[in-house]
Amino acid sequence: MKFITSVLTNIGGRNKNDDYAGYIYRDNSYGAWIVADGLGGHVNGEVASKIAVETALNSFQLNKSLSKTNIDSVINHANLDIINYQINCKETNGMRTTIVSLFTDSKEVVWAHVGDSRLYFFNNGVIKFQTRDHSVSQMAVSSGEIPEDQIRFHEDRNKLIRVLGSSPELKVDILKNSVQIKPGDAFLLCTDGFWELIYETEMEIDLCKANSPEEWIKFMTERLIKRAFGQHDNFTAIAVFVQ
Amino acid sequence: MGLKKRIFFIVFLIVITLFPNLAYAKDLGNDLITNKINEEEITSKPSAGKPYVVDCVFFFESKGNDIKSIKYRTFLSASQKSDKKTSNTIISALTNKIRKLLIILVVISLLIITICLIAIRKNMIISKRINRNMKKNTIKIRGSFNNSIKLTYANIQNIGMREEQQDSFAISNINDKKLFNEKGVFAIVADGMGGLDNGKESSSIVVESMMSYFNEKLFVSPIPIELRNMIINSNNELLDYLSRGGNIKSGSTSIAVIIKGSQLFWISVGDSRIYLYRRGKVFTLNRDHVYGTELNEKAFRGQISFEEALNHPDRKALTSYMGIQKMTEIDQNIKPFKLNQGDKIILCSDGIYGSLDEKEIEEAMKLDTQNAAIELQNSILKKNIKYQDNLTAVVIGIS
Repeated sequence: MKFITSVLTNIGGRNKNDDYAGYIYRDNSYGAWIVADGLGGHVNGEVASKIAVETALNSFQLNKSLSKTNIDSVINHANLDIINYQINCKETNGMRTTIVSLFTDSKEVVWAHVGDSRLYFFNNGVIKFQTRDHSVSQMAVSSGEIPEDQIRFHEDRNKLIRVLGSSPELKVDILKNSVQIKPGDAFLLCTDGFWELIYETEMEIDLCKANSPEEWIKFMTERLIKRAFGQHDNFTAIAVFVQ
Repeated sequence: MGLKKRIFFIVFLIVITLFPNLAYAKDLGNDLITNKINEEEITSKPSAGKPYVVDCVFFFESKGNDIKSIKYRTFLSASQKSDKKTSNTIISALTNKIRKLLIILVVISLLIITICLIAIRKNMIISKRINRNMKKNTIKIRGSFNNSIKLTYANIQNIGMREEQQDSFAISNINDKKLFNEKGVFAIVADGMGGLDNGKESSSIVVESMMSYFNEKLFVSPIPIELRNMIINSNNELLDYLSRGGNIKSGSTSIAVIIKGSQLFWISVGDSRIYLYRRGKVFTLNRDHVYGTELNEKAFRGQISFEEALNHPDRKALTSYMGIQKMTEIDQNIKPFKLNQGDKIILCSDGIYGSLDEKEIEEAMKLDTQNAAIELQNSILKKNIKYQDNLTAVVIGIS
């Protein structure tokens, strides 16, 4: 099984990009894809997201097990690194970040996330799974207050109830059982700046048009630009095709 | 539930018409049990009034004064005599048995026929032609997924405030079972451009050549490849026509879909649009082949400002169209797109989406296929737009 990756990050209409993304991949062996969104309201959001991605990638490289305990320690390691940085450098005390990650041993995958950055899993061209945000809006959906498709327009969608950098104790949302993958499967990891402007149906439409993950992101970005026209937030997306 | 009730009612009617005597006998039987009248009274009853066509014979088993059980037999009698003796003869008993058997056979066969008729009616193609400009067809197809899918379609076409209708459209014959099962449904809209007559001619060449490719060519490749060959073939036919007329400056857009089972395939060149309507929202399937798309990209890369991109006079200029020597941009899906129940597909020329925003199209699509198409037209005509372009739309509903 081969994984093909494309990454796009854009500053949007802001003066700095708080998003960070990275991946490691070795053919027929292992891979990890991570996207983090440093919180704009907090100082040094871009530092937090960078630490989160780099620490998590490094710590997965040391132990490539897909077990729940290992994935939990990978993300927690990233959280602790951010907290340590805050201790050493007091003015970064307020920095926070979200994280969404995908890990594979080239046969199976697991994913984990904290915050409102999302992972979508596409099987046969249709969204089979998507992560649930740790936000006030998502809670409103869970309690039946608003329908799922209203999150995009809900005022509390960016009020997060779980983030990296706020406390050494971190509850990570990890996929319970790893998933077997097949050629044709696809993944999309993205920050809120991306999914807020692209509907899930459009992700599916553009996926069945795309020859490569690069083309897939290009089609979706075209929609994003048309919709936001220079006013959009930072956005970052990683697209992965399984072949 | 409706079907069950209908069958029950039909069976009831058949039984009533074939066994009027049964109803009578039953009434009498009930009467007997409740009132406990004796044997003489019952047997004398038929003979009391006018002669009965039907004889009833009741057999009683009695113990003392209580009637233990009542058995009754009914049959059609050849004689109108109400005499007990005739019904007791062996010959009439035998003919009665045969008659009963025949009646049961007739009832069973009638039942089977009615059930079959109901089942066939449900699956049958119901087609209705509304008027010259408006067609509605309903067909039930078996999807590749266990649930069956029903397709309905409708179309509208209006000249707007222009002098000539330059849009063309076509839908494959869904009543042609063989074609339908083999290749599915095909729909196409083309928006011609150029000098007066040529625009119309170009769009109709595109529609006709693509339609005949769908109808006549044997599909050997996957559908996306067939669609691609179809559009390239059609472009060559249009180029032929244009060069024969001494390099006429003309062209056309082309959007086409094939729906097979629950899978959708589309192809597009130009700026006509294919929309998917799903759960109250419309989504564009194809990208507009206009210079504006490139300008947006440039602004995104920071090469020009967003204002420059937005105000560029050539935003609407086509970057790809039918009648172009080298077709570089073709928009299509290479993997099947799965349709869900409740979806609608809208193929339309820019006369539609140029005059309606997405919210207005969504409002129209909330109606059934037929009325959705009519509403598209009405909401545009209501606006009384000064230079309203030709408007054409094909709406396909999946239920």
